[in-house]
Amino acid sequence: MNARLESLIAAAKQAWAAERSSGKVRLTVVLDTSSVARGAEETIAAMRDAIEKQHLNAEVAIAGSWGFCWMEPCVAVRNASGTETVLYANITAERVEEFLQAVVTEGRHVPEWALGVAEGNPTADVPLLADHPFMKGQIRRLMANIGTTDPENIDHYLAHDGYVGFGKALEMDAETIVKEVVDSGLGGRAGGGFPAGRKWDFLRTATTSPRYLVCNADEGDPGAWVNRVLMEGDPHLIIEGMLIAALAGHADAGYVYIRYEYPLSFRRMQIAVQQAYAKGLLGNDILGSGKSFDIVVFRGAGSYVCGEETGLINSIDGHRGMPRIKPPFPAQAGLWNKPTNVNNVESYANAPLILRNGAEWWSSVSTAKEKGTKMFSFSGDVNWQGCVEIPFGPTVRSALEQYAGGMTDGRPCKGFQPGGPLSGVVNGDELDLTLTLDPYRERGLFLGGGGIVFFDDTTCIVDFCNYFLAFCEMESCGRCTTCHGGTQRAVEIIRRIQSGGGRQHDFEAFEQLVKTLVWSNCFHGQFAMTSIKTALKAFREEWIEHIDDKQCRAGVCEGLIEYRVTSQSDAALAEAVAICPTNAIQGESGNYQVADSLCIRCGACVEVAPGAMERRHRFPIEVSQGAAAAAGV
Amino acid sequence: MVSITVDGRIVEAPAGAPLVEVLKNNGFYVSSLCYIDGLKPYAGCRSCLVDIEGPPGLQLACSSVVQDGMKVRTGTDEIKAGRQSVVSIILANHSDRCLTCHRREHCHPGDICLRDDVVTHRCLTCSKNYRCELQATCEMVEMSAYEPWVGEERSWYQAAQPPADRGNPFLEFDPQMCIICTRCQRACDEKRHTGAITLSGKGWETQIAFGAGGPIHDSNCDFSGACIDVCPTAALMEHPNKWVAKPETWTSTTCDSCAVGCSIRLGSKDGRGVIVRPGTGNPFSGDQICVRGRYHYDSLKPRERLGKHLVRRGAIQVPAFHSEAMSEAVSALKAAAAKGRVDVLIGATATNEEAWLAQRIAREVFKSSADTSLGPVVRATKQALEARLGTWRMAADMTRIPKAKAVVVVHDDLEESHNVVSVRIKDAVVNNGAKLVVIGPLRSELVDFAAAWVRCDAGAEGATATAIADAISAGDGANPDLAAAAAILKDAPKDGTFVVCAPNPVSPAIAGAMAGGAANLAVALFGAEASNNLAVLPPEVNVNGLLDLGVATDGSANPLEGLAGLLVVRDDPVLRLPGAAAALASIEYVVVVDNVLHETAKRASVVIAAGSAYASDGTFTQGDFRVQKLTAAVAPEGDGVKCFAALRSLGSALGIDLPASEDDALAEIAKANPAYASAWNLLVGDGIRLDVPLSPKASAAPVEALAPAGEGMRVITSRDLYTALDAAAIHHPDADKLHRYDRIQVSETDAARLQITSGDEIEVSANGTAIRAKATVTSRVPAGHVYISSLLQGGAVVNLVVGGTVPAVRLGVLVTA
Repeated sequence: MNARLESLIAAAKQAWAAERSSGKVRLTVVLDTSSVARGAEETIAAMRDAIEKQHLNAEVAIAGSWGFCWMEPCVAVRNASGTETVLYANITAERVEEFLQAVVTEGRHVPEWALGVAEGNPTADVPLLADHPFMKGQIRRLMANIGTTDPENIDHYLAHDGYVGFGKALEMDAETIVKEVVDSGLGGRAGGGFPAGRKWDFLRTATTSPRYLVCNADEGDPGAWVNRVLMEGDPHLIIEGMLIAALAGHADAGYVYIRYEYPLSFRRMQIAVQQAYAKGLLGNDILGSGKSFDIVVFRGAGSYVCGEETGLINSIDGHRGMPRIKPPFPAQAGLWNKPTNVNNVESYANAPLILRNGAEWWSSVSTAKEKGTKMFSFSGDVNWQGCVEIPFGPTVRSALEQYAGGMTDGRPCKGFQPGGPLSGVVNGDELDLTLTLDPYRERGLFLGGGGIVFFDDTTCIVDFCNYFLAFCEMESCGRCTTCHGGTQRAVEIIRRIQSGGGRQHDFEAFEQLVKTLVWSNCFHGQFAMTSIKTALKAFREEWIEHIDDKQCRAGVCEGLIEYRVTSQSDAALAEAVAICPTNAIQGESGNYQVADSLCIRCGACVEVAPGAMERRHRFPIEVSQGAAAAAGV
Repeated sequence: MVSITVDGRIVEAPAGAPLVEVLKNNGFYVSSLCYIDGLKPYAGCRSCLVDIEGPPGLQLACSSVVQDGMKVRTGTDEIKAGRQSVVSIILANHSDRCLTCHRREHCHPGDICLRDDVVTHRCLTCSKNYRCELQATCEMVEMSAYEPWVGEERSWYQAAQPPADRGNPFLEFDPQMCIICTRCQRACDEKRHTGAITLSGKGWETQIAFGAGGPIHDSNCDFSGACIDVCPTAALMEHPNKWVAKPETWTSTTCDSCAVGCSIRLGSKDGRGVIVRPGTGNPFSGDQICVRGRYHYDSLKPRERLGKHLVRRGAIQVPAFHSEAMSEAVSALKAAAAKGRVDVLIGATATNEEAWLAQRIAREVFKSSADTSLGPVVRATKQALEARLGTWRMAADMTRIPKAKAVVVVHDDLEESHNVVSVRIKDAVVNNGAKLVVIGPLRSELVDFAAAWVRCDAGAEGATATAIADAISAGDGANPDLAAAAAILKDAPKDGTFVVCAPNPVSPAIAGAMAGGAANLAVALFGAEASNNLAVLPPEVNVNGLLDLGVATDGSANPLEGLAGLLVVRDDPVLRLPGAAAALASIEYVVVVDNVLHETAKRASVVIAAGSAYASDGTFTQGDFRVQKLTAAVAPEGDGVKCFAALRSLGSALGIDLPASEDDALAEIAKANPAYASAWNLLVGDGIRLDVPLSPKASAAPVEALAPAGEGMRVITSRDLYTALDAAAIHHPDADKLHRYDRIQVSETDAARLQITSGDEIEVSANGTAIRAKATVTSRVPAGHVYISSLLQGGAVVNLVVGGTVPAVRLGVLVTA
């Protein structure tokens, strides 16, 4: 292998070993967007403060997320002798003092906060972390070092065989690298599943230069954050992946396009790129190999359609973030009309693993058609909103039980949505579908980038579609009539249904929109109606209830429910009257009535006076459409 | 060419051509609301659905290209339903009740709408009714009674509509009519290279915006109206004719506002022009015109033009019948001829035929010569060219400009004086990667497109061009700007390089220096081929025609000196010549033939009211010797007569036999000047480029930088973009409707030094002439200079010009804003 790389790795390993034998208790706090939201910065400040004031024999370090996003901040505690590391969860600032007292001063475990022993032997009160139900079954390759290494320190990455894959690639010719990646079966991780190796081959065989790589980190689907975990946890994995792709495709420069809403990812990637330049891993004549490659970290401006590859390219080019007309495809004319390869963060991140350990090792893990491991993030009405890395193939049900901790409060799973707003919904009775690409394709939706949102029976499917259609409408770039106008029409119909104005004709109108939006230019328009299309099929009855019977079984749709006073004598009624933000409960003591036109259905009255107020269906079940019309809706 | 099958018919088309254009050109209907012929497809409206055999589903005709053996269907039920569905979504955000009404063909403006449609929402009350592309599309797509979205929450009738922008005199933007096809944005960007229009917002808030989203006149819009030409609805329309322009007749004729001679179609009603759109005859201007061309017909209201013949009775001029005015004119001219010399002045907006008559009168009746008030400037240019190239007629064909790889511009501000030439130069830069070298003191819009801008003092343009020429031949590069420009030009392919010069319209000395410098540059670049690659653009439309007819080829520096009488045809010496007002006062007999009562006409013994150029038949000879046809599109105002007819009867009364018609006059011209033989068979509206031989010689001659006339600030003056010539001639307060050039422009540096802010009333003075106006502080003007439009206050700036030098003025602040 490249001698300079070898010496870099050797030095990094030395530094890593030195850190481990510092003789201090090491408190590695997860510092990523999820944990910051739950107070990790305050935790770190409190720890540093306590260490300084009490002169504790401890040091604070940072790391990416283990995936326990719902109980951040997590802290890994390695004892002073370095023999054991225990992972704790929910270490908020107010717990720090007590926590440090135990783990540093007294050197004991705190079993009630502990998740498990990450390194070392299990004890009577703290089991192995690997035996934690959330961790068991995960095969963590991309996430192998996340949680233990500092994402802002390139040495940590180098000390864990970082850039070894790149080192190997440096000694291979482009064709061999492509072959290795093709052999591995690595498919695009954003949901398309197109073989990454073949895509790289397009770039390799392009006839013009310069050529560009783009890393699509515009992860905008609500409920998907796997790319964020990677960028904030192990950014060099992505840089190394792009370097390998650059060798394979003879690329001259790469852009990492990070969505505006990921400021920390942006900063971490920037730091990582700067460090890679400083070590000679990027720039001209990389490690004396004669190869050159530059990476620019580019921050988006907050547009969802820039996740579409040509929209993203337009954005970097300095144009309005609008998907382009294809052809030409990016492989022929992408960035500045030069050949460009666009891959997802996770797709690039897999390349170092393939090169380091071989295609066979890499693909050995999955029994499904799709090879390798895949990161998923589970959210919605589940107990554990976390991020995992598992091989393709398990059923959704097993993933829900094992990695998402089941549904909140044990309610039934009404359905789930893979793949974000452009994908559709699947009924809860199909939980036995596997986490692979095909079953969703067959149903006209897609698995997507790894975000899966579960919902229970408190969710109204019409309201759910309203949310996603409104999102699609808001994020339409404005090019296609079908998309920006069509989504408007769909949202209007849904909202009308929600306010009790559903018509029989609406099914037809939806069908028409489904057909018409297909003529849009990009995925955004073409798939904007997927949630309605699939929901109409999977939850037909509920739509009929909304449209024909004016009933919302989940009691969510504002126009289909009403509040009323059930007991004039209840003492809490006065409180309900007082709390109503719109003064909709009118009248005088003994004769309170809800003025429906003022009521905004916030539900505060029922909360404070459950005995006096009631939320109920606005229309009795037998009401006809005519009656609804008479009621003025 | 390959064959494709469309609806069973075999159609020949070039492979790779956009399918939508091929379908349209072969008579197949495709609804297409966002495509602009010749530009890349935008594919936004999604209505041009067709069925192409092969790929599943319907395809867009705009983004599909012709392939051999392609089988296309345009009329299946699926296509029809698809188009209807797409158009229905467009209509949901557009006032559409009439578009989808089954009664629309029977409905009259006064009818009560059976569908309760509000009056202001009806097509019948829309300014674009019957000339609306959306309306035609709805008709063709059979949208009648197809209204799936009526009554939805945010559809057109339910949602509040944004207000219209009516804040400028040229262009109205009514966003409630907009269907966001972005044609305007692309026309502004890709056809005009102005980029004043943008698509802003996303989702529901997607909209067309000007500049940063404020009013149009705050953006960099230059009001060319290219956006109006492509707008499929009433969203973008001309302000002056928005509600009146339903012309009875469209006439193809030629614009009279500069020496480009863009082809226009002039729509008229009741004998008056009501609308101007780009024509098709001039291959150089193509589908573009400028703000002057589009709105010049409206520069004056009909009553502000001259509708009566006038004769002088003592101190006043009184209306007279045509016969009366004619006989007075004849007797005045005869009396003058008896007393001494009588000359004829012909304006540069006179047609070749009118000029021919006028100059025959001069030659045959008065045995004198015909000149034009632009004579001194024109002759200076002519002499400078002749000294170097042996001829003033340049052989260069300007249609080569868009395909050039390098362009040099020696000008005051070409963007303003010859707007469409500037557009074509931008074409070369943007579409062809041409390198542009700009020489001139003003930061013109072309500077933004330039690879090198050599900024020089006013009066030094010619010397600077010569210095670059020297640097090219000698490899000498003392000044880094010059060296950079020279390096660019040296590397450019010679057959792909073009020199454009627009000499100053006011100062003969500067004009001569500019033309001389440009010629030197052409000689250095092309040697003997110099005149093949040099375009010299005269200051007004038919200057080259006048010169070809022998008008103004020789004459004195002061054409008004020592005359007993003067016949002025479509000319206003007060606007062009220093001290003209005083000189006119000493001429006893002045007869004017024109259509406005300008300062010269006010001093005349007899004024014959004649039609404007748009009322004339005949020809113009343009800057690059393209002869363009004029066809009378409007009638002369009031009692006025056609200029040609007036001159002909004047000639007969003075005893000579003049040709009976414009065609006969052209035949005579062709006989006298063989170059015009080819012009003889002009097609209507089309232009023919005269055969101009290569110049007999090509040798450089030195050009000195002109020194200022004295202490003070140098004056830059040029033809501006917005001021209308005829309105300026009568000192109309709205000659510049935007009021941008009825001000004096001052540089930021000088403004800071003299504590001037925009809006202050300032005065510049020299030679006993003072001009007062409001100041505009701008980076356009270099330090130590002031800019005064050549038409400001009726050409006041001409009186600052002293022969052979650059005007220099003192500047004082009168009133602070």
